[in-house]
Amino acid sequence: MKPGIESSQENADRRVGVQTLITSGLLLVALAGLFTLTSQVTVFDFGDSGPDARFFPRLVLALLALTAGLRLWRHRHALETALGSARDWSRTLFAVVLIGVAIAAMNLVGFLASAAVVGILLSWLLGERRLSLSVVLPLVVAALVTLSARQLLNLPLP
Amino acid sequence: MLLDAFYALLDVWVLIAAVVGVIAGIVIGAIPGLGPTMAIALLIPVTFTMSPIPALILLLGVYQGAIFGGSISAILLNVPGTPSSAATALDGHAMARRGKAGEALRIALYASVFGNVFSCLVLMLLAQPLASLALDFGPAQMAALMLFALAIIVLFGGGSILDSALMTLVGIAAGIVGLDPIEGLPRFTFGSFAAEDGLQLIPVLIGLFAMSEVLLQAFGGHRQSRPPTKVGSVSGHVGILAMWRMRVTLLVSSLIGTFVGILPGIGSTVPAFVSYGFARSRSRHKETFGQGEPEGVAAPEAANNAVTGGALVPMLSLGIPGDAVTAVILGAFMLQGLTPGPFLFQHHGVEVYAIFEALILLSIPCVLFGLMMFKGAVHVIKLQPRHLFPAIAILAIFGAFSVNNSLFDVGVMLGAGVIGFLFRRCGFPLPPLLIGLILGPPLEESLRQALLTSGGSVDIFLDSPIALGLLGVTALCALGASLQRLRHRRQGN
Repeated sequence: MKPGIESSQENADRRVGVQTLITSGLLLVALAGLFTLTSQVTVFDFGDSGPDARFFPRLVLALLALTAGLRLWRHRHALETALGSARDWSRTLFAVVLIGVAIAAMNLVGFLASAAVVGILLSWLLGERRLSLSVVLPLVVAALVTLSARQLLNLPLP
Repeated sequence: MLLDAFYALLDVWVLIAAVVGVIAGIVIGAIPGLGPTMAIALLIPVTFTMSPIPALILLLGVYQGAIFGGSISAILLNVPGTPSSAATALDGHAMARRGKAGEALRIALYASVFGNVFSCLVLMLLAQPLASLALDFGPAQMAALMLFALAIIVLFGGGSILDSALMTLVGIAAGIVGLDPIEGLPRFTFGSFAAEDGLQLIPVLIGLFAMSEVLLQAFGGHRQSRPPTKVGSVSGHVGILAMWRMRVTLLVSSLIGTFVGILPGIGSTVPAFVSYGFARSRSRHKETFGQGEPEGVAAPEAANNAVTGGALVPMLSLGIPGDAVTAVILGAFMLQGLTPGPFLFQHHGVEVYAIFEALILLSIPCVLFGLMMFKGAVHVIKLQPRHLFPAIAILAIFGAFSVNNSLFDVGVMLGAGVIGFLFRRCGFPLPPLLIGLILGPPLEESLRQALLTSGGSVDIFLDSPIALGLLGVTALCALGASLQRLRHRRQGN
């Protein structure tokens, strides 16, 4: 069990867990990078000897694929952290979508409103039910940040 | 130079920055779950409009204050505010249980200040000569030096070598996105102009260290609330004589902390435990260690604070960050136009020496406010992280936006937060990723420049004694780490 991860029934160690999934994802990204290298990095050949713009990405992506492959092989029999409950993932997804929507809507509704909504909903998501901490604190922080940015730092917040 | 630097410190804004930095650091360090890395990452945007000296003193004050602040909750609650305070909790909390919390806190404070001053003096002595030496380095030597630093982080950073290597390579790979450093050709930008600038360091590190923590809390960390704990009196007194009796422990622990701090990737937890072990081994009262021995508090505190100055030696003189905090501070230096590396002392000598002197002088507010804040800290450590994470999310969004006034950067921050969350769920270490991201572009530049100079031949690395020496040391370190692992495995069997 890795540190910082709650030891519950849902998070019990499993044969294929988050480590294998994430490492497999990294392996796929590295391989995709290697396959698309030619199309993503256009090189103009002026007859120079020595490495071109594709040299370093090729080296790093190959090493990344190799290391990810090696990790998958070395840990093929190891027990890993289970994915976790659907409820936990949905809470995290909600937090990501909430912040993503706030970023997308920031130009429309402004920084203050977006930040305040993010703060209040996150407070609620994290289990805070006291009005002073779940509503007032995020509102005060959002207002203070907006005011300081505009008046003290001269930042053009949306 | 030293006098000019001192005059530069005679500014009311420097004083305000030092005081605010130290107080903020102590408070943040005292709250378990928050740390100096996150605090500095979130504060960097606040320093954009400040001049370099107060801006960097503010951030370094947070760094110093937070390392000491971590010991407050370690002593009073047995919950280390920072990982490096775990060793302090062994005897510190035992002292608190015996009604000597005030004494333990004062020993921790004085030992922290001793370790900090000692390491800053070493920093002043070593950084400039090391930078002068590095001025003679060509691309081949610089590439070999960066390979050495990355290898040390992977081999001795703690945890699995394979996981550290994986994270370092992810960081280096992320640094590839954007324009190629030699020919200026776009790479993996997928046609986006915004991506041509590459991944901006500040949004990425805010995402990795602040937003990922918010997402971890959302995932399930909120269920880990600490039960309310009754904290006893924090009054007490520790005299000069009591500290003088620990002089050898303080000195050796500071030496260990400074030396380990200079080595990249090891951090401050290892020297804290090594110093604790050393103090115990040379003590006449070995049996009292773990039961409230004052030297058991002084040793780890002197060591983990000495790391702060030691870690700044390679960061300032060579541009190589030793751990996540110095990587974040490196980002702050770059934003202020002070690019760490061999030329820093030539181009910004006054600023750098002013920062060195300020680091030593920061000990004064650290002692003053440390003593004043013990009573207040009793309330601060009772704060649950969930009270603060919504505010941290707001500051993270603001911080990422303020770098370039761009919502693209806020998106990058959120993406880095999601990736950081997934890696932390796996238990993969984030500092190697950040250091890989920082060292990747200069490593590529040096490597390609060296190979272009030699017409593609690797002989350029073998013909230079410095490059060859560094590559040899890297190979020896790899061999040493492999043998050490093999021995541990045999002992385990």
